[in-house]
Amino acid sequence: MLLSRSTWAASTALASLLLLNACGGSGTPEETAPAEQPAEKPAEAEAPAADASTKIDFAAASSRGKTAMFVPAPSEFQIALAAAEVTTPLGDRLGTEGNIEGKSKPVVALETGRRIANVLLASKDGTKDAVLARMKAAKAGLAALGAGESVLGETDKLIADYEAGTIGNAELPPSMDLLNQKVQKALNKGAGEEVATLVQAGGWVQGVHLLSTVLSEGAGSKEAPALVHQPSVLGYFTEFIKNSSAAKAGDEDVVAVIVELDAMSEIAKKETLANEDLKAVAKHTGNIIARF
Amino acid sequence: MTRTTLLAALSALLFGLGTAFVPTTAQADPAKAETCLDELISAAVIGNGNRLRAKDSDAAADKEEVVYRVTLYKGMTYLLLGCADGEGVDLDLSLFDDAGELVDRDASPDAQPFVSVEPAKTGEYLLRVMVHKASAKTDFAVAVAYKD
Repeated sequence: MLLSRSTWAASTALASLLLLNACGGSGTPEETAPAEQPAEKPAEAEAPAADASTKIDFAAASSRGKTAMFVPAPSEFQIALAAAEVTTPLGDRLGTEGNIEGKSKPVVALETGRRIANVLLASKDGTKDAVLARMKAAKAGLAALGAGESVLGETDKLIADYEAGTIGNAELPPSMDLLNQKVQKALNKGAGEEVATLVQAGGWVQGVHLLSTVLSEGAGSKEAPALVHQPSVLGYFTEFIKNSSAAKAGDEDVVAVIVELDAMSEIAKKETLANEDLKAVAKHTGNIIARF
Repeated sequence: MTRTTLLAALSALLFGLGTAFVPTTAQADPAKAETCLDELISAAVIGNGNRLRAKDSDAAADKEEVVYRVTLYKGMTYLLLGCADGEGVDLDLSLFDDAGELVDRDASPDAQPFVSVEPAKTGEYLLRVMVHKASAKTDFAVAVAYKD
């Protein structure tokens, strides 16, 4: 269902009311009459499109496409679960935090991404103490990656707000989204793109692991397996990790992760995922997480 | 918050921005594009209980395009939005599915386009950002947000 300018006329009345606020102080009520200004937009929308193409060479365009907005946010994944009728509580399936002591930076990055995802997944049905522990573990991962004082300070503030009750479980996901933006920006700038992307990959692996596990147990609608069937995201992360400095240096953990990702890529070639495929994905992602 | 209300709020804000900016010719000003987008995100996305996945900024000359890969989940409602650095610029957004077919576009001749979509299936889509009516390289900022 499309809801762009084409549905603009339907929202004219509301837009008109809001327009008064948006333009407050810029003119008299008569000058910003609700019925007048919105009427300009549909007229604009009917102007000939500067770009009328309706088809794109997907493979070619994708190959040169930017990936800054490619990977879904961890909390976005959580909302998608509800949309796919996956009601199984995930909070008690998150597992213990992995070890980052003595691990290579790529593995610390993967584990940190997993920890950030765990905060969001725990926030749905976890106790305050459990969520707090997950938040502090995520901060420890960020500190180990050298995320910088600004991001660590913001993380501390979020932890303090949550601890004080200023932010509850319902407000935590959007707050984490904003923090995640800052984390990605800071890591890209400081630790580098490789670390920032691996943090994303760690969160994605954790999400896929939990979902494939509960789906293989029969949870969710018949369309739910599509949530873990993301060959393009898998391919993106796999190629990225294969080209990472740690892979080139033969890091034992990273090489093992690549073996599991390659096995998942074979499964992802299928049109749809059967129950045995979901079990296999859960096993491979579990093996990846076991390296942390 | 319904989708209609979200779009209404966004539309209203776009008008607000339109009236606030003095029309200018296109020129490289990444800070202006990012500030414009941040205002949209604060008021029409975060302020309406929606969430931000990510944002990015780039630049393109007249009739040049920049393509973004985006993964979208079926069952979600997404808002893709952008801002260019000058009101004289026409910034267009087009969303294509993995068959290369157009899903939706905002080709209205302004600098703050938006597209709202409920994907028919989970997978990779392409968001094409195209600059028109620019006399010089134009900076723009784009974002992907989703409904809570």
